[in-house]
Amino acid sequence: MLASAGHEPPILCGRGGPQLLDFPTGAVLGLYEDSDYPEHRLRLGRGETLLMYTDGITEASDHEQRMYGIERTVESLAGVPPAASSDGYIERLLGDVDRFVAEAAQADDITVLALTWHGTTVSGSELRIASQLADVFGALDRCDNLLQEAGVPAALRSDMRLVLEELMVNTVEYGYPDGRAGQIRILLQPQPDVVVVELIDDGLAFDPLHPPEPDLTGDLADREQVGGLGIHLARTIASEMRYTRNAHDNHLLLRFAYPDGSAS
Amino acid sequence: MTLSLHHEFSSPDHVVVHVGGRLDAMTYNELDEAMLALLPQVPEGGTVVVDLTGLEYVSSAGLRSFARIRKSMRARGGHTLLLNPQPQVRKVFDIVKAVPVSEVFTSTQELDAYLDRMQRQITEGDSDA
Repeated sequence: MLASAGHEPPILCGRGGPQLLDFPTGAVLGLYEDSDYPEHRLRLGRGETLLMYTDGITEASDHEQRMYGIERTVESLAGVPPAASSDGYIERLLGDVDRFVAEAAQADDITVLALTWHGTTVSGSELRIASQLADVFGALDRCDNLLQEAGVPAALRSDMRLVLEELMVNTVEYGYPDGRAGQIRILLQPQPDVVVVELIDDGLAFDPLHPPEPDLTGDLADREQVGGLGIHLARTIASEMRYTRNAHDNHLLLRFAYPDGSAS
Repeated sequence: MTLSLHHEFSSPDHVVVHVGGRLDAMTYNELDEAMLALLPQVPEGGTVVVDLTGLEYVSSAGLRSFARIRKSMRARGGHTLLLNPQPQVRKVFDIVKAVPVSEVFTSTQELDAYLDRMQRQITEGDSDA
């Protein structure tokens, strides 16, 4: 969601050539008591960058008082290779502006902000369930159906089921010791050679990457308490697992790479 | 898909338990309860063969059930042998080193040969005494 207080149009990069997002803006902040700022929605795809800048860029002037202008700005960004990082866009633009201005004095402040989406496009499916065992198993079946429709091979689906079962059962059993009703969200994003899953719950902070490896003696019947196995299985089987704790949520990013040679 | 269970005694001290379907946090209780009723019928020193041919999926909850069977049999001088685990089950066993490999058999022939050997050892042991 974007709103602008009289700024130059932001530029969307990485979706073909640079695109000016020329949506209506409101008045400069602080001028009027009842200003209105129209909202503009934009969904960044993976590798796309949203570039915002002050008019110190477009009004940067050379010795002959020619302004850099928006056309040169777009032209400069068009020279950045696709899927560049936010640094790449900023360095290119500032470099080009510097060369244009040369020895002339800077007229205005220059601020550039570039936001790049490194995650995936949210083109997959989202499931929201209560933190109850029966709901977890309902969700596992639905995930399996969705992945089957997406053409994910059976062996990978079975791996994913195991990882998701272990993680969600763990959340249900230990995430809400006070008995409050919790929510688990599962975002499935099947891609040509990998399935990305985001697992988000509002239970107690728990980083599954943190517990030490269980002591595996070669015989589970030797052990008094058999804990930590599920998390160990999940960690071993997922191709990648990344944990972040947001304000009230555990956020796990899981990747399941297709077995070699089976990419569709 | 849910869990399927049935068993037969091939001799008074040898029972085969067929576990099929999915053994997970939703279904492991069924296996635990069935074993609670069945295992006391197996005499001291007896053998439980858990036939996994029909088991498509196991999670850590199911591993814990297998561990309980083996613990309970061991406490009474008995044996627990696992027969014919399928790929997903084998993979999970391997990752957590769930059971000694010497107690997992890929075919009935292999299992029978092992049981014959065990039988001979007991018989020879008896004749030595």
